[in-house]
Formats: sequence, C-alpha cells, structure tokens
Amino acid sequence: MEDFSIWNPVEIGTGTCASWNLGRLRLWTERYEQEWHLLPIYGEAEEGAEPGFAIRGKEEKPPSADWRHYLLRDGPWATPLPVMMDRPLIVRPDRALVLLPGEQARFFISLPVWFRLLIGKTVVPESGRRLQEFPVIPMANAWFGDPVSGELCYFIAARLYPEFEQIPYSSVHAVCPLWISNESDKDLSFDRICLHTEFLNIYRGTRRFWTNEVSVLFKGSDQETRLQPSKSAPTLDGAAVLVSGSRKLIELWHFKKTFDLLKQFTGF
Amino acid sequence: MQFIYEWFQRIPASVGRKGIFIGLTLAAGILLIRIALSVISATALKKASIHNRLLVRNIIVYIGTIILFLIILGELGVNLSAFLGAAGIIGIAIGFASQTSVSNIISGLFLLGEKPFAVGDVIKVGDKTGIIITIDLMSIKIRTFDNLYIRLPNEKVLNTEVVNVTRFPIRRLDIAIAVAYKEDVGRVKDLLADIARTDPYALSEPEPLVLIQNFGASGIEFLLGVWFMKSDFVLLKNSLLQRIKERLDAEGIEIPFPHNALYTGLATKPFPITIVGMDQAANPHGG
Repeated sequence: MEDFSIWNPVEIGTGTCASWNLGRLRLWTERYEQEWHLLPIYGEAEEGAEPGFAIRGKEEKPPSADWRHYLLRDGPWATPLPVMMDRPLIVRPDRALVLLPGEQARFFISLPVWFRLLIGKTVVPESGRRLQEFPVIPMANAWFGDPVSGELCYFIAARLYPEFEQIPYSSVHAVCPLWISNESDKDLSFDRICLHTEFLNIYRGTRRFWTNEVSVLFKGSDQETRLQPSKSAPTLDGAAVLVSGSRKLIELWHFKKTFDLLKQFTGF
Repeated sequence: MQFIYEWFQRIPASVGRKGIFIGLTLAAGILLIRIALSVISATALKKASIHNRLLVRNIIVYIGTIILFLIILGELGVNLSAFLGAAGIIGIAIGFASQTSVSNIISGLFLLGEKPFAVGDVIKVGDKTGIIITIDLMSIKIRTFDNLYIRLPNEKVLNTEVVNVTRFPIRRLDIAIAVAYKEDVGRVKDLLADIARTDPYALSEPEPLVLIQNFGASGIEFLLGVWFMKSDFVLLKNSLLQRIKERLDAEGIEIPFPHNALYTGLATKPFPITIVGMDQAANPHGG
C-alpha cells in the first residue's frame, strides 16, 4: 500500500523553513509574512527514495542564489498537488514491440508526475493559489515529428507493463493504461510513443495514482493515428477520486500522429 | 464649407490658391494614408506576422504616395497622359542613371514575394550574421550580435547565399573531435553518445549522431551531431564542448594536437634520438 500522505496540506508558520522530498526533487521552502521562498534542488534524493515532508531548521537552509521569492500574503497552509507534465511525453519502451495486423494490446506505463504547490488548505483540486510547478524527476527535452512541423516534448525511457500489478508502488508516479489497436494491414513496429499528457487527469486509486485510459488506433503509416483519452477514470484499483484535472480539455478523437515513423532523422 | 468654397472662388486663379489647395490635398492625403495604415493594422493585420505587416504597410504607403502625387500634378494642370508619356522617357533616363537603385527595388520585390526570411530571423549573409530588423524595398537592415546596425542592399542579398539560421525550430550542432590512434574507437563512440544524451540542453530525440569521419593526420576524427532547440545554441555549445573535454580527460583519452613523425628512409624505424645528460650538455667537449 502506497502512502499518499506526502500530498496532504501542511502548515508552515511565518519564519519557518521546510522541505519536500519527492523523486529526485528536494523542494525547499521558507515562509515570511508576505513572501514564500522556493528552491528546487535535483539530484540529492535517489529516485525511488522515500518521499517525505519535514520542517527544517534555519541552519539547514541551503545557501543559494537560486531561491525564488513569491510575494503572497496567504498562508500558513500549503497543499502539494500531483499534476501531469505541461508538454507531451515521448516514451521509449524498454524493448522493441511489434503489433501484428488486427491485434490489440493493453499496456501500463508509469509516468512521473509534477509537483504543483498551491497555497491554501484545499481538498478541492485547483482551489488554492498556484505558486509554482516542478517535475519530480528531471526530464530530457525531445522533438517528436519532422524537424519543421513537429513538437517539443519530454522524453523518458520506460517499461511497458502488461499487468499493472507488476508496477512498483510509487506516490510520485501515475499509471497510464494504454490500449493500442493495429487496424492496418501491416505490422506495427514502434519504438517511440508520444503521449499527449496534457489531456490526462490524475486519479487516486487504493494503491496508486492513475491517469485516464488512452486508446490508440493505428490505421497505417500514411494515415493519422487516432488517439483518444477516455473521459472517465480507469475502472482499475478503485481509481475514482479525481486528484487533478488535465491541462487541456479532452477533445473527441484528438488526432495526433502518435507513432514515430523511423529513419526520419538518420543520415545527413 | 460654403464660406470656404466662396473664399476660394474670390481668390484669383493664382499660384497662391493652387498652393493652398495642394497643401490641403497633401495634408488630407497623408492623413488618409495614416488612417488607412492604422485601421488595417488594427483589424486585418492584427494577427499577421511582422513581415506581412511591413509588406502591406509598404504597399499602402507607396500606392498612396503615387496617387497623391498624380492628384497634385492634375491640380497643377499637368496633362497626365503627356506626363506619363514623358515619364516613360524620363524613366529610361533615370533608369540608366539609377540602375543600382532600381535593381535593389526589383530585388526587394522578389525577396518580399519569395520570403526566404522574415523580420526577427537570424540570417548569415557572407560574413555578416544578425537579426533582421526591417525588410524594405531597397535594403534589409540587420542587427548583429555585437549590436551593430548593418544595411544590406537587396541586390546583394538576392545574389548572395543567405543562410536563415532560425527558420526551423530545431537545429543540429556538429562538433568535430579527434582522438589519438591508440584509443579504443568503440569506447570513444559510446562516451560521445553518452555525453550528448546527458547534456541538459540537447534533445534526446532525434538521437545524437556519432560518426567516425576520417583517419586524420594526427588522430581518428569523429563527428558528434547533437540536436537542440534553436534558442539553446549558445548554452549547448558551451556546455557540450566543456563536458567533452572534461570527460575525455577524466577517461584518459588523448585529444591529439597536430604532429609529424620523421623517418630515416625506413617506414618502421623511427629517427634515432639520444638523450643527452645535463653534464654532457653543459660541457660537450669533456674536460
């Protein structure tokens, strides 16, 4: 059973220093009467290390010129919220997969969430004042599509799990169920998947965070691939509680070229 | 209005009256052109690019000015047919006298139509690199990165190879690196790929390219091609070159400097060298 308490509202008094530890992010904060100071530091915590929140002594505060000061009188409560990243995500599966014509497959991908800090004690998503967002695991930038009209994405190498029970518990990851259908008459060989995470909500299940289920319909390399995020929570793991909404509204049959046709960038 | 009309009627047909009328026509014409520019800028061109805004603006100004000029000529009693005929002859004369200017204007029209670049793009023309400030009929103006203002005649731009550096959203930075012949080529390839993959300013996709390019005079030459967002050029170049040097040093991989080996006729035996001791060097004749 994963502990979601890291995402509970916390009280930070005036003149108090505190830090959250999530994934590879250690987010330091210090509150003053009319200011909130934030300093994200990456790399101190090991990925998969125990997430936690702690009130810190002033002497522990890292000296840095990168502290960001936010002028805001609200306080003393702060609510962290897991949200999806702000750009699409290219996922490179851990192994080459080929889906034969007419076949369907379901996979589960574990996606690192972002940490959104809201000021105020809130149980309703988005009701607090947004201070800032940080990825819990720094992600590399990547370009999907051709060099002229493609789009900027994030990139992760991830494992595609056939069963969600195999995914390690994590309070800083959300599991995305992915249905892929090959309705073309050719083998579908993919080594990249571009997920439009800006259309995904985050739900809380009994043991994991979840996103909406995503259906991908492939009809051939010369046709647009259809990608449709489901509008409701996945019917798995009791995932029914909406934690955070998608950045963009889900459109019906959102058309996106989802599978990378290889060899676009090889050669000069 | 009646009063003004009568006032004009009372004035004898003289240069003065015409002068006032021409003055008023000029003022009204300029005002009209400005109003037209403002209205079109605020409506039709609101979402247009800076390049298109400039283009339409120039067209309105040029056409408006020509119409205004013809109205004033008509008011002055110039026979426009005769004038246009004369203008043809004069035009030929002026054309001969101002070939460069005409060539620039025609080149400017081609550039505006072809759109090889737009305002705000970074271009390289010859040895000049800068950001385009304006594209006019006679010339384009660029601001270099050391903040110099350069006017490039359109004719020159049209006849020269122009590189538009920022046309596409992503670019590839190619870095040539050489390592000593004694190094393990496979290991160097893996290292370079890893350096590129882990650079914060490099794109993971498209994947970095590592190529063994040549067996050079002083070492094995590699090409490392790293894709990046066009805005990250300076950051990436600094970061990547520094990290390559640091990593190769840390791994004990030699970056060779140009060198020559001397042989005494045999390919396999090097020129014999004897190390001379300090004492011997100080007193070569002994004693």
